[in-house]
Amino acid sequence: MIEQLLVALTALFSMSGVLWCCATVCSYLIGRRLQQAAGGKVWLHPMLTTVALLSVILFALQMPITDYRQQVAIIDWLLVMATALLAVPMYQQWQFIKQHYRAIALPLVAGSISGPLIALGILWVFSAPQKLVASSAAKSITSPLAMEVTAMIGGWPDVAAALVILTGLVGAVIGPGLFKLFNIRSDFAQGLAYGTAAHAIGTAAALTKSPRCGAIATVALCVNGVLTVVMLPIIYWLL
Amino acid sequence: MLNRRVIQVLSGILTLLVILELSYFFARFIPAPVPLIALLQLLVVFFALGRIPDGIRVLAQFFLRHLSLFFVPAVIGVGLYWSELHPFLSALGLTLIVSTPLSMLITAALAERKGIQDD
Repeated sequence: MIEQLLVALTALFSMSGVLWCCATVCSYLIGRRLQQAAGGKVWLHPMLTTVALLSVILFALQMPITDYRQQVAIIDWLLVMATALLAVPMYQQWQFIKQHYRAIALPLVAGSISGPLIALGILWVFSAPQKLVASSAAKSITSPLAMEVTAMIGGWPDVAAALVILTGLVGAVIGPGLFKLFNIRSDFAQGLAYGTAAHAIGTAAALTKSPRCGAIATVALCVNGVLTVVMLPIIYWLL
Repeated sequence: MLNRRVIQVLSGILTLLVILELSYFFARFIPAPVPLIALLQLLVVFFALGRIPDGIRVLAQFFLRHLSLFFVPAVIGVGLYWSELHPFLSALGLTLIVSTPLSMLITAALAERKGIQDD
């Protein structure tokens, strides 16, 4: 791990490494500003604007993607750290999990299994290649964990990351209308659905409903992340 | 006060580095992702202490607020697979638009029946 960090740091301290990291961070900051300026519209998620902006920069400067990824390896490294830090909200919500684990378990496991299965089913109908199917199975869990589990079952981690973000956006945008249509009102049900199916982006949407809804979504996000990482390889081998 | 904060954060980073190093070591024997092993170790630490060390809490606030930033390079990496993805874009779009609301509905409907009231 230390070696990987050193390699990443060496890349960072080369001139262009610093510049590309700055470009990434600046694009992100601009993306955030843009969303705030637009009154927090979900579909203007900073992720989309950041990637769009960076793609334009990379294309304009004719920078190959592989080189770019090497230059900003430190960001990938920090992602591992950020993922581990999901332990913090999990611990903070522990009382709630302990109190309600019976009510949480069934809906969460049902959502956790049905999401990947439906996705796999549709892609199977379209006879998508094996690698692509493997890359979409983990799309409901938070990116860093999804990338890891995708690598384990033989997909493309990068594609998984993109699908995860799109899934989150779809969930966050569709959520309010969906719940209204099917008359689902409680913070508990909505939070659990947002966190299970739409990870962090869904959790952000849940937070706009109420803090409690956001807290429940956080629980679902963490638990489903861990659950999927454990279960997906098993489901995948069974199929 | 500022110094205290700096020391807290530095010790938080140090703890995380030790835990990550241990996770990479454990990952050789357990077929689980490194971040997951690190997450579980952190949970063990929190339960052992009975609280979250301040440094780690501050770090978590920062990292989790800006989580999107850290997977920008990964999403950019999709460009590498574009030619293989291209023929299946509509299938992928359909997958996203069908499976996400459906699994949300399954979760929410089951949870609503359990009827935990908002307090």
